Amino acid sequence: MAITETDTTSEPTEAEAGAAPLPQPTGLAALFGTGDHKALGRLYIVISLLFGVGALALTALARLHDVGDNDLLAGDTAFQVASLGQLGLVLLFVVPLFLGLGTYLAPLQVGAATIAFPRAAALAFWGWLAGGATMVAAWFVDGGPGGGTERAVDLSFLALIMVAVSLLLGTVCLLTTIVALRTEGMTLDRVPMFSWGMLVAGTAWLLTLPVLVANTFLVYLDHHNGQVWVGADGAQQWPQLFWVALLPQVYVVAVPLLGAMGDLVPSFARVRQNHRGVVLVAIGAFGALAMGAWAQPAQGGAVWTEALFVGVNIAIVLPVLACLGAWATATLRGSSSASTPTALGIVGVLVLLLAALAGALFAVEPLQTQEVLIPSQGVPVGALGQSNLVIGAAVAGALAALFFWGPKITGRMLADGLGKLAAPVVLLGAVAWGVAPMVQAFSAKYTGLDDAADALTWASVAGAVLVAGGVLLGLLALAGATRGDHAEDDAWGVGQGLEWATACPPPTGNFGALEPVRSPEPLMDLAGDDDKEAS
Amino acid sequence: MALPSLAPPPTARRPRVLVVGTAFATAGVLMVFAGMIGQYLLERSAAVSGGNDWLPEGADIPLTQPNVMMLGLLMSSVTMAWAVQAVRNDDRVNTYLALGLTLVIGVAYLNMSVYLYSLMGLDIDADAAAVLIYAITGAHLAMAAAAMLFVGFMAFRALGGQYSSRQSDGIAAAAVFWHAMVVVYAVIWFAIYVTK
Repeated sequence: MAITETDTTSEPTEAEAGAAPLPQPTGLAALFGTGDHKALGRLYIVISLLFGVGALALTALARLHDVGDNDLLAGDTAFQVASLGQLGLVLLFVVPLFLGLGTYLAPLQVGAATIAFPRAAALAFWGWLAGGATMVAAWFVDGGPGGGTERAVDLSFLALIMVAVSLLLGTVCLLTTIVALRTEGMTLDRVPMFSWGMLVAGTAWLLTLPVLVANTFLVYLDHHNGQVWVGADGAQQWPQLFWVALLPQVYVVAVPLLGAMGDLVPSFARVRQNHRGVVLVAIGAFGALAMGAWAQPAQGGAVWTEALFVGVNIAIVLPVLACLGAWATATLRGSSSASTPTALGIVGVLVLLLAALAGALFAVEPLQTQEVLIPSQGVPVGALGQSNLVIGAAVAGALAALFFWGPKITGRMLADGLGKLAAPVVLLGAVAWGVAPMVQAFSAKYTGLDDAADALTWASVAGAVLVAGGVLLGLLALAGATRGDHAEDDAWGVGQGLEWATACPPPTGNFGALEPVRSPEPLMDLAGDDDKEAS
Repeated sequence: MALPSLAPPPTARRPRVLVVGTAFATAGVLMVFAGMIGQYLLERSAAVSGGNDWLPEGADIPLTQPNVMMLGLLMSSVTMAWAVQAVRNDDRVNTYLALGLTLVIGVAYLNMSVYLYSLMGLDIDADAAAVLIYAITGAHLAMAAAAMLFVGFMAFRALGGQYSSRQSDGIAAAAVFWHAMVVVYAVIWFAIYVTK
C-alpha cells in the first residue's frame, strides 16, 4: 500500500474498543455546539417569532406615523423604522420561521437521520442570529438606508448581507437534505407536501436572495467609497432593497404555507390526496411565479407597468385556486374533522387568495393604485398592503404548521384554545393590516377616499397589532408545552408521513431501520389502508 | 457440478450529499453575479445611450491581461476535468498532478488580476463604473480564492487516500464550483473587459 493511502480496513485497537463513549456536552456547550437539526429548528422558531413581534411593532409604528400630519417620528427615524420593519418581517421573521420548521421537519419527513451538513446548518443559524442582532443594533444607532451615521450605515448593510448569506446557507443544507438524503423508495414525487413546499420555497430563496446580497454589497461599496453612484440618500438606497418585501417577490415567503396545507388537509380528512401531481405542480408554479428579483423599481421605474409584471401577478392566482380545488376534493372524499391547525391553514390560504387578488388589482394600471405613495417611505401604499396580506397569510400558515407538528417539536400537544383564538385574531389582523392600505390605494381614482385616509391607516395599525397578538399566542402555546402528558408518536392519530412514525420528540438519529417507502403516505401503507380512490 | 454463477449484489445507493450541496451553493453564488452583472449592464446601457462615456476619464483597461487570464482559467477547467477523470480511474499520480496544476493556474489568475488593477488607473470612488467594476471583479477574486481553498482541501483529502473510483465526490464537488468560477469569469471577461 502506498504511503499516501489510508487503510480503512484495520480492526480497532484494544484501547479504542474498550474506550467509553465521549460524554455528551451539556448546558451552553450543548446549545452553542449543537448540529442537531431538531435543536436548531427549535431555536429558529422561537427566535424568529420574537423577531416577528418586534418587526410587526415597528411596522405598526411606521404606519402610525402616517396618521394626521406625519409628525410622530422625525423624518429620518420614520424612514428607518419602516425599512427595518419591512426587511425584518421577511428576513428576521417569516423566512427564518419557515426555515426553522423545515430544518426540524424535513429530515423527519424524508426519513433522514440528520440534516445535511449539520455544522454548516449550525453556522447558518448562529450567523443569522448574530447578523440579525447586529442589523437591529446598527439601525438603532442611526444606520440603515438613509441613516445619518456613516459607520452605522455601513454596518447595517454588512449585517444585512450576513443575515441573507446565513439564510442561504441554511437553505442549502435544507435543500440538500430533501434532495440527497431521502430514504429508500421516497422518490421526489412521494416527498410529503410540506417538504415539497420547502424545496420549492428554498429554491426560490436560493435564486432570489443572492440578488439582494448583490444589491446590498453594491450599495455598501458605493456608500463606503465616496457615494458616487447610489449616494447616501435613503430614497436612492431603499429601492435597491425593498423589492424583497414587495410583489411579486414577497410571495416566496408564502410557498411553505401551501406545502403545510398539502399535508394538513388529507391528514385530517384521513384520505390520500388524489390528484397529488396537480398539487405538486401548482406549488412549483406558485414558487416559479413568485421569483421576483427581476421586478426591481431601482432598475427602471416602469417595471410595474410591464406586461410580464401584470401577467405574473394575475397568473399567480391560478396555482392557489388549483390547490384549493384539490384540497376540496380530498375533503369531500374523506371524513374531515375540524381541527385547530386546519382552521389556521384555511385562514392562511384565504388571506393568500386575497393577497393574490390584491396583487392583480395593483398590477392593473388603469386603476391607478400604483400612484398613491406613503409619504414617509416612498412606497406605493397598495404594494405595502398587498405585502402585508402575503405576510399575514404566511404567519397563519406557520402557526398552522406549528400547531400541527407542535407535538413532534415539543413532545406535548400545544394548547388547543390558544390556536383556536389565534385563527380569528390573525384573520382579522391580516385583513385589516393589508386590505385597509389596498383600499387607500384607490384614492387616486376615487378621490373621496382621501377623507378616509386616517381611518384606513388606523385600521392597518390595528391589523398589525392583531397579527403580532397572533404571533404572541403561538409563542405562548410553545412556552406552555412543558407540562402535561407526552404525546404519542402519531399525536393526532391521522399522520401519513414518516415523521409520525417516530417518538415525540424524535431521538438522536430520528429513526431505527426504515422499511422502503412505497407511496407518499407510508403510515397509511403500514395501517393497510389502500384508499383505492386515490390516483 | 459447477455452481451457477451469481450476479454481483447491487451496489447500495449512496447519496451524493457534497455534490448536491455544492451545486445548490454554486447556484446561489451564480445568482449573486447575475445580480451584479445585470446592474452593470443596465447602468452601462443607460450611460452609453445617454451619449456619455462609461469609463471615467484617464481610466484604461488593457485587454492583454484579461485575455491571458481567460485562457489560463479555460486551461484550469481542463486540468480540473482531468483530476476528476483521474480519480475515477484510481490514477493517483495524475490526480495530484492535475489538482496541483489547477491550483498553480489559480494563483497565476490572482496574481494577474492584482497586476491588472495596478494598470487600470481606476479609482473606486471615481464613478458608478468604477464601483461596479471593482465590486464584480473583486467578488470574482473572492470566488476564485474560495474555489482554490476548496480544491486545495480536497487535494489534501485525496492525498490522504479518501478518494478513489468508488468515492470521488469531493473532487467532483470542487470541480463543479471551479467550472462555475470559470464560467463567471468568461461573462465578466466579455461584459467588462471586451466591451468596456
